[in-house]
Amino acid sequence: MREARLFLVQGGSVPQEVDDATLVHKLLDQHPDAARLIWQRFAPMVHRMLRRSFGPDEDVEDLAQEVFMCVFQKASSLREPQALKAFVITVTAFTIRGELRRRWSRRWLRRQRPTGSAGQLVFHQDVESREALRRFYLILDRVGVQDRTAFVLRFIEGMPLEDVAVALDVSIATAKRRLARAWDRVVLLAERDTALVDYLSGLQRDGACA
Amino acid sequence: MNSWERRAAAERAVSQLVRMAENATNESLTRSEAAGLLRFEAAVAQRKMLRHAPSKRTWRFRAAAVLAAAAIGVIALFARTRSTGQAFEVANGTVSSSGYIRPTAPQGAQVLFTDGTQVMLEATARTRVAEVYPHGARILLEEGKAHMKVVPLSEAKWLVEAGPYTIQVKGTVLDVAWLGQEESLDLWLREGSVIVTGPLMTHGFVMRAGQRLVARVRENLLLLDGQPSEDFRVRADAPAEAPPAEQPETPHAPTPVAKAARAAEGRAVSSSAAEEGRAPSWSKRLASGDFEGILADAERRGLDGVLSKGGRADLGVLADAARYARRFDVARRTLLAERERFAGSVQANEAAFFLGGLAESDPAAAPSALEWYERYLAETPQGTYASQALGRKMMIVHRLRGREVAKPLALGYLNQYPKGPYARYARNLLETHAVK
Repeated sequence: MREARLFLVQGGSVPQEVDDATLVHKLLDQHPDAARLIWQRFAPMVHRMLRRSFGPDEDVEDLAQEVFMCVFQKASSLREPQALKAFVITVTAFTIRGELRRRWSRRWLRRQRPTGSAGQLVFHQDVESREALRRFYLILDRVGVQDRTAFVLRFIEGMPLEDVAVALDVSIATAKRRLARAWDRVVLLAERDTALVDYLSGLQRDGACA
Repeated sequence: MNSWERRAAAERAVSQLVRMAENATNESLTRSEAAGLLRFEAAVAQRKMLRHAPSKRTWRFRAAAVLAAAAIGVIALFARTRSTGQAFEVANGTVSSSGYIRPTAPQGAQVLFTDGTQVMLEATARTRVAEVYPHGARILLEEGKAHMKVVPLSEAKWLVEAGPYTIQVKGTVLDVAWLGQEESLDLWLREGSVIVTGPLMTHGFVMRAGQRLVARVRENLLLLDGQPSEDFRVRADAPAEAPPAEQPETPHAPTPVAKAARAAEGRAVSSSAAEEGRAPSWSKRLASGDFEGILADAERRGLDGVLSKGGRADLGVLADAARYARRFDVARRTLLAERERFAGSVQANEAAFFLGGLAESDPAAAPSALEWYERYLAETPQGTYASQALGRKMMIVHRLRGREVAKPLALGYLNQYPKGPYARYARNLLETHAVK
């Protein structure tokens, strides 16, 4: 009996635009609309960050669930309700790091090299672009978890350095060091992939990427 | 190229890759990602329930209080909503504003409508109340099993959509299951009557109490067993009331097989036949589910003779009976006879489609199935089964000749039937490297 719940449905309630502070209060009060509102506000951003971290073809649905569940559970620890967006970004960054560690562990245990995903979504029409992007994420797979997360947030996601530092819970100086290290590592690995560099040089010559 | 130049080229390449990665993702969610809201809501609801679980010591008091409050609430809500039309509640489950119901208890969820209609959902069922009418509702069974008790009302309108099938329900009790992966409908009608429309039943199929219908879209199979019904219509061009041309006048001494089949017939047909003093027509016997009886009758009269001299309606009924009874050899011969003797007719054209389905039941005969579907599409591009024929053709081509060859067919299918039963397969074919 304890799981019995009753709902009355007479047309859905349209979520209203609420500010972050109100949304946090709704979360803390366990308002029935809180889950929906927080999802609708942040789901596009969270999914985008996750896809950019793991590759556009990756299925990130479960990770997004993990992020939102964590946000929901830890909302009470939010000291400044206005900082909800930054809080969601931090939780997403931590989820990304956790997932990268899990993947690294799995690879290490199986002694496998990263193979990339099979691919479920098509974002690039031409096969070559798709292949280049796949190789790029294979390169990222060979960068350390902390450095990779910093790289993705700063360069692909385009976050300001200060926000990257907050999201990673490190000082700005540490964030800078990680970014420099990540950049060097990615460039070094790309340099070794001559086919990739040649392909992209060709594109640049043709102006395809302009 | 020296090392400095190589480094510079690599840096440019990384910059480009970063831009490509940035452009490759946008903020629009895929359909399954957007559906994640429901998962999240369900997870939050579950978590709330766990958190608020009463302790062992006080559960009796709390349960009593909750029950009392729920009873008062239900009475109050019913009293309030009865005047404003249909509404529904969900017990042991969550429901989103769009009507998506997710059972949260192992025993499943219960949907209670204000007119007293109940829908019991299995724990794994995925269901949506898509529309609520003043006296009824449209329920989408996306996956799993449901048990329905619909209160009979003269003005009621109840529709259950399970995959490509629509079940029009009046007052009745039924069990329905739709397995999306297998594209299989299983409908057991305990009381009342329903009309089912969908693949292979485009003109409606009337089911009576006690009947069980299994429809397998992929295999082009319809199986009906249980008690007979009077209004069984599968083929629009088969005149239901016309007696078969070759039907013996008084077949009162049936063969043992026919006797056995007759014994399985229901009261309705037997009594009406006795009253009329003659055997029911093949159409009626098909409607009553007496497939074996029809086959036995045809064999007693001589299958060759029936195939060479029988009327068009007879052959249509015989082909259907043979398919439903899984006598594929007889079905194939009958359909071929239809093609030969009534070439150019709708029935003969449709026989090509059914022959394709029969050929598909034999994995080695896939090319033959493809040929039949192509023939059907060439003869009747806008025919009743054109969507299915094209879908099946696409799948067979994919299986036999690979994805690239099947892609144009998938595009063609989506252009013609964007919401057709094979649309998802076509999209997968176009969008992914591996179609599951």
